[in-house]
Amino acid sequence: MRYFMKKTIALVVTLLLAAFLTFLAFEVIPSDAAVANLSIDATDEEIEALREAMGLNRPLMVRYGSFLLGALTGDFGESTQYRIPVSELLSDRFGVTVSLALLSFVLIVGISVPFGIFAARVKSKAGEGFVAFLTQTMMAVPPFFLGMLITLLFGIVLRWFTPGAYVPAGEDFFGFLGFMIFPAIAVAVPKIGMSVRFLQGSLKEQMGADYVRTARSKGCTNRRVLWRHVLRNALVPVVTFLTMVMAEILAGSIVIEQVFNLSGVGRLLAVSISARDFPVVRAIVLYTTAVVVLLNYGADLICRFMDPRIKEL
Amino acid sequence: MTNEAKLSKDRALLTVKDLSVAFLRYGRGDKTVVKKVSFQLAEGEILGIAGESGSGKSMTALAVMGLLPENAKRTCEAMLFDGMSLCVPATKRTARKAKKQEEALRLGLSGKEMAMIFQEPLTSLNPVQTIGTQMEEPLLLHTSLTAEERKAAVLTALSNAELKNGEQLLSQYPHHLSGGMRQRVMIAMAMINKPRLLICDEPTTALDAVTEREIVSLIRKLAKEQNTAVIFISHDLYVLRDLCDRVMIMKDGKVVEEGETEQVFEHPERTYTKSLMKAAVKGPKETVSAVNGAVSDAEARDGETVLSVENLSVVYKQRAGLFKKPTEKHAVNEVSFAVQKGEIFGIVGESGCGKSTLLKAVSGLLTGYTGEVSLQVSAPCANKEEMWEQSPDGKKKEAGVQMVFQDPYTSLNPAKKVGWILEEPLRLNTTLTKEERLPLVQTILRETELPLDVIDRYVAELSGGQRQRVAITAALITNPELVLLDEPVSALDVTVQAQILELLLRLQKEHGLTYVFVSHDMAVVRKICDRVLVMKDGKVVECGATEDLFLRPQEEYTKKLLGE
Repeated sequence: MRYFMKKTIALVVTLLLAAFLTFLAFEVIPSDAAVANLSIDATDEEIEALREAMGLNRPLMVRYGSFLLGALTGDFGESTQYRIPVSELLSDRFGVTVSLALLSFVLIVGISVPFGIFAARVKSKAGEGFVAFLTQTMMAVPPFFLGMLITLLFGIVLRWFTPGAYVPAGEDFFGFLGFMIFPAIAVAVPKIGMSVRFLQGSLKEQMGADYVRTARSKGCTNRRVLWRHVLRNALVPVVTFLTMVMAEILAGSIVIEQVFNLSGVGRLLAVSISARDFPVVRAIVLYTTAVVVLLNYGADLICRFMDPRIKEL
Repeated sequence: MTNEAKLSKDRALLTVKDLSVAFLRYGRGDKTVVKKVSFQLAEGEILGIAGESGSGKSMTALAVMGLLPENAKRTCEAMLFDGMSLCVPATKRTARKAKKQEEALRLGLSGKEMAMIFQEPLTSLNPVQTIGTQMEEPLLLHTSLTAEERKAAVLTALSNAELKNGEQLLSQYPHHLSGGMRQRVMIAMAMINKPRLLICDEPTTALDAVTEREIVSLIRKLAKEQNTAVIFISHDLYVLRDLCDRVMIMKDGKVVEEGETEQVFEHPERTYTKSLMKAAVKGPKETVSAVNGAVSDAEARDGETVLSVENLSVVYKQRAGLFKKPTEKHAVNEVSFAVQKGEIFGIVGESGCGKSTLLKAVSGLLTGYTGEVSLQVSAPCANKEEMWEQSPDGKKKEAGVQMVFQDPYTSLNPAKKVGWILEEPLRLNTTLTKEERLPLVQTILRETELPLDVIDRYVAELSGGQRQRVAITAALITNPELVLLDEPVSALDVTVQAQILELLLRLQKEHGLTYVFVSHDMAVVRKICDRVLVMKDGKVVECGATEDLFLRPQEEYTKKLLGE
């Protein structure tokens, strides 16, 4: 419980700090927004008036406070490119990215955990070689190429989905799943390769541990040794690893979104950066850092639950 | 056939006949580590197996339990446990079926009729399961007791193993317990189903002297109470002599000698047994010194102080909670002592008494202590003056103190060749070129009796004794005056231990070195130290000349440590 409290306090502090750095990067370090908004021959009075109106003449911490309040209530200002509130712009995109991330995460966990356990039990040289070859290939294929292959095979040859025709989940949930599963596979495949390798290594290491010998001396079958003793030990580092994977795919996959013509966060970020649409970039940066910090917080709590040796900070 | 008839007549609990264990190695042929070992064990009998590391004693035990690593293969003419054959003879065709049969029998017997305790109490328990969960597993697997009955049985087993607060232990995890307590838990767990055979594989090697004695007497007590036969493997001959009815001496996978304990100890027949006993001599320094010809001449020196430590304290702060005041733990508490030039100064105590922390503070590896540590080690040794002339002044003091660590397996960089490791101190402390460094390395290797070709080998290719020689060589190459030795022989078996101690004594005499020697092994300390400091809970208990202290200990704690 104390661990939970400490981690939660640390979480809040980290989030505030991350928000402050974002605030500094977008509000303070760039040149005066009032000057940038007016034409070059604006008088000092005009600039001063606009600064007053934009709230730029308030003390730094007060500005940070109102920035934070805005972020918490979902008010990120207005997109300079689309002239609509950033929150409105983002809400649709989030749906796409989050559902893509969740779907691929289910695929990653659902496939790599059983496959990793299987891979760890493979004993023959040939079998080990095959697993290594397979996972290596999965990791090595570039995502855009994989996306194109999937589009070609399932979209054009087999006609299992219509390339580029995204179906919103609200309209037709199964149609949505039928479409989204393909980009999700494209996102998941390299990560599955990595997770299998990681889990296999972790399991193999644990199977050689002394406590396994003890368990066998008590009369445990191999199956019981694996499920009751080894798995929980082996999964601790894997949880941290999967968290990193989840954070990465939640931040949006620019390439996959582009290939499958999905309007997700990744694509929006790419477009907004090139259009210098700072309010949008700022909101996405905040979102991404929050995702990473929150997921790490979750991973810490899960690991602590799984491994009692993890010390109090 | 006559043999088998004889075996069955003896009503032995365990009969092993011509057991061999081989490791399968790809492309290099098999390596046989146990060669045609035969022995018998009666109900309630305690058999000791002694031998150096690599003599095959652990593999013999693991083969009986069916716990050999996967790349090891066992073959035997007969292995009978209470009339049941643990090792089913098989041809190539029936191998699969035989293996299945063996496995089924093993699953039924392990944890019920036969149990095992291992050497490493720190890692032998599952770190993520509570003691209670692990303790009840043998009951869960082999009995049909209800949850309450299991809990009661676990509590009884814990109290039989002299563990207090059993109720509290149930919900604790292994990392909450000390090494000695974990080994007690292992014993309690092994004995919970009242097995008829208990195999102990060096159960006390990782423990300090006091805990070792307690664990040995616990095993003896439990074995007697439940009429359990015990196979006790150890490289410590004194423990075996104390505990066992019969002993078996192994070397290179073969049985060298076997017989009643007193018989073997009083009248060893084989020269190997004799040398093993001699290596484990538990005598005062003078007798051994006379044998080795390494007489300490600390008295003959002018009493120049090399190291003096005054009121040294090391405090670790522990925070109990975020808003609570940190509590202080004194790892070392107001310790003062002085070491004279040319002396071997021993520091002894149980694990956790702060002796290693003290050594770290002296060596400068640990900062943040309070008190004075002053080193007078600046004068270079005469025989390699040229080396020192080239060294920048500021480095002299650091190079004048070197340290050798306990575990030669992990304290040397596995990714580097031995030559690189040995040259490193020279690279850091001198301006010698590569060409100049090599002859120095070769010279010192000859002194530490290592073959010159180790230069091009990796640490992994060396034995434990050779590794510790490398560590000592690396410490001595800069000609330090003061060498700090942190349990340098604890991880080695007796014969290698004796060789390393002999080497240390010889080097000390030849170069006029000063040693600070930390150990928990009283026999080793008595063998080589001139003066001894006894520590407990970070404080000095007693300090004096070795023989005085061993013959007339003043403090209760010292007496306990000496086993009186």
